[in-house]
Amino acid sequence: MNNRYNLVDSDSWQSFFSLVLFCGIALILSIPSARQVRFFDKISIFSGIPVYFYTYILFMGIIGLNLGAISARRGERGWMLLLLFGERLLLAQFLTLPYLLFERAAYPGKEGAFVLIFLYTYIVSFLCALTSRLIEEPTRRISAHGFLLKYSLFIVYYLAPLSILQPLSPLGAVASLLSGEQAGPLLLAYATPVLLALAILLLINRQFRRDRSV
Amino acid sequence: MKNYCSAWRIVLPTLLLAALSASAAPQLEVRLGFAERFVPGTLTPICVKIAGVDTFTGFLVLTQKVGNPWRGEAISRVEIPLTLAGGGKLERLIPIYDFTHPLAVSLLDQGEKVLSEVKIDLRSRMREEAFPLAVGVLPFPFADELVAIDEEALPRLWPAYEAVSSLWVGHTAKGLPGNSWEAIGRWVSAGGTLVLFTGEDFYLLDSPVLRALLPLANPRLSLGENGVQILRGEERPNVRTLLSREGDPLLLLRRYGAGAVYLVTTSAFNLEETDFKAIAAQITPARLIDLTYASADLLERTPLQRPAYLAGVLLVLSCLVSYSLVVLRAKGKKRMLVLLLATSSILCLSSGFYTNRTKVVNSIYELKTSLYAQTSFGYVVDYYGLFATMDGAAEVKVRGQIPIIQELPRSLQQHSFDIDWVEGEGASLVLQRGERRYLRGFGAYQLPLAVVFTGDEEVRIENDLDEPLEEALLIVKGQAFSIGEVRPGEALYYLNNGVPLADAEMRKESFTSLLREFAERFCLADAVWLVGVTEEEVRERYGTVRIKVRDIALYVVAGEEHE
Repeated sequence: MNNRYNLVDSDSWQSFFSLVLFCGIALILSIPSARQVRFFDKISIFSGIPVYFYTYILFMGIIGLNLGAISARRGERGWMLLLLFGERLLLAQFLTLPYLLFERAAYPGKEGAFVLIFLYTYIVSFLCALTSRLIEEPTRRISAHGFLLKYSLFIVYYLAPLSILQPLSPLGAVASLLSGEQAGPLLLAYATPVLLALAILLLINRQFRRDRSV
Repeated sequence: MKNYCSAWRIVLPTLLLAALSASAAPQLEVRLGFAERFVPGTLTPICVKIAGVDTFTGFLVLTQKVGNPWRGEAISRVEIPLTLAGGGKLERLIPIYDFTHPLAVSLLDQGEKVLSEVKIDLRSRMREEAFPLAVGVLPFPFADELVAIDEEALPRLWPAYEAVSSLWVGHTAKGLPGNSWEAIGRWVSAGGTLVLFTGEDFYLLDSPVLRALLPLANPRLSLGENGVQILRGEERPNVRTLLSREGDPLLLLRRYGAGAVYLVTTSAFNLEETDFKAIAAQITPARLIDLTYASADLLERTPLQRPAYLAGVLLVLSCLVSYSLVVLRAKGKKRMLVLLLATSSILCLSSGFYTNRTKVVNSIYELKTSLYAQTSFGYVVDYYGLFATMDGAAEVKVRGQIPIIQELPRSLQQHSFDIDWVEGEGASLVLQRGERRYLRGFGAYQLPLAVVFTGDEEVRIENDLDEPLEEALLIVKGQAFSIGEVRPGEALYYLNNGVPLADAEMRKESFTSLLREFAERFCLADAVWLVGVTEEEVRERYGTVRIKVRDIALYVVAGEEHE
């Protein structure tokens, strides 16, 4: 493997591989098992749950966290940082695109929702990458504290809003997008990661400027 | 004084305007059921008279709330587009599910503004079970629940008779209207019970439909022992004499299709009350032919379309192996990127091609089983079974002017049972994931199929349907002969290797189960019958809702015999 290659290298490939593997397992689990109407009620525990999309948004978030940590270790900064995040996350999305096309068979007529989920997942994973970068930046190495902090925040972001306002959580937002909800909750679903990402970007910039002055 | 004058200047024109507007408002007069009696859960005849409008374009909307807070509630709405000139009268059938809430009949203009509304109390009009219906005059009310109407009030659409347990035709002034006879004929063939009092009233009632239904061929009147007019003739096959008087048959029974025709050979006025009671004791109530059980079973056996597990596993393995190979083997930044993108694109293409419309999960599966029966009159009964794999709305297309009626469970709490039916468009309803819904529809239909039994072992069939009958059986006097496919056009078929009807089987299990359920109720023992089946699958799409419709049609045609 070429370690100089900064888009996919030995560090990041593990994250990409996990994404492809776990999304693949979820894809197989999401295929309805019933062959006839009479068996429909007796199917697996995942029936009625968008298991593929939950796994997809979860692992895209995790890949974002990993890429943020790798970026901090390499000291990537400025526009290059954003560009590399963008490229890597787009590549991750592209690697799972065959799954998304396959999953289309389980959600007929929801192609529009698929595009929205694709875009939303990209924004959320970008937010995760920026958050990870912000947390890992001071040490410039993957620290235990940083690891715990960023994964705690990740779990809180994914799970806590589910009981308060579903579209605020990426899991809830995906479910809302699939069920074709009204514009209001969808706007909220998109606005939350976008605003958070902008806020974190400002913090990262401030951190960089402080580092430079030091 | 001046103040009074100015007040009158305002009040008088207002009163005049109010009076004018009141006289211009359309008025609705509604008659429901048979002499204002109906049975919940049936299609009920309704007659709406609209007065007070010169020309009108809009809608007549009939809305009914079903259930209560404990049972759960649903709304049934029937919309009939209207274009009237000088008022008018409208006769339709509407499904009435319940009696607890009134039926609202509203006249709406094109802007959906309510111009007039009438609320009909249903509680006082409700009968829990089908009731005997008498038309014309009968000397004795033989049952407490008897409902009597005059011949002009007989419905012209055969499904209206679903609420009738037996139809008694007594002495009429002018006989029955032709289209009412047609409706009665269809109803009897579909499982109705007709009791005819003839004798000297026979010629008043006489019509081609009556002749087709009668248990006697070549009927004629003659004097009996006690000097009363008696209808005599040649008994048709499978006719039974149930009661006799002084050596003459008094009550004859003929099984006609799924129904029964009881012929009283004399006038109702020549009978004593005890005779009436004896006749009433012989009458079995109507039971319309019902393929709901077989249709529900077929719905349960309907295959669900979905991608194969093997394909999913292969895709995942292909992705993992090919991406890993590229990353491990490719040298150089650009080459790796290009190879990864190329591999992903190839896998995307394969995935896209595989998940074509035969692998896509359908939102709703609709099984439509149609029974087309053709004796002297043709009719169709449609059974709809709907199953949803995901939440969504469903639209059910129905033919003709007769709305469909849905089977409602005891509890309406679990799902939404609201149903909208628009004349000319069809019904729409909402199903939730895993839900099953059953509906019935009716119509009159003249089948373009003719069967002639020409002799020993030869039958000529003229099929003017657009499509072939996928599989057909000829039933000659209780023996079933398989003749395979019946293509459009005219052809001769030869009868070989007959089996008793009870043992007859068709190639597809679904066809056999339908045939069995049908043959249990429909009298196929006499004469020649053609039983054919077609099956078709179509995919429909309403917005994001994808519906797979499996349409099974069972054709049953009475044949002619030419020796």
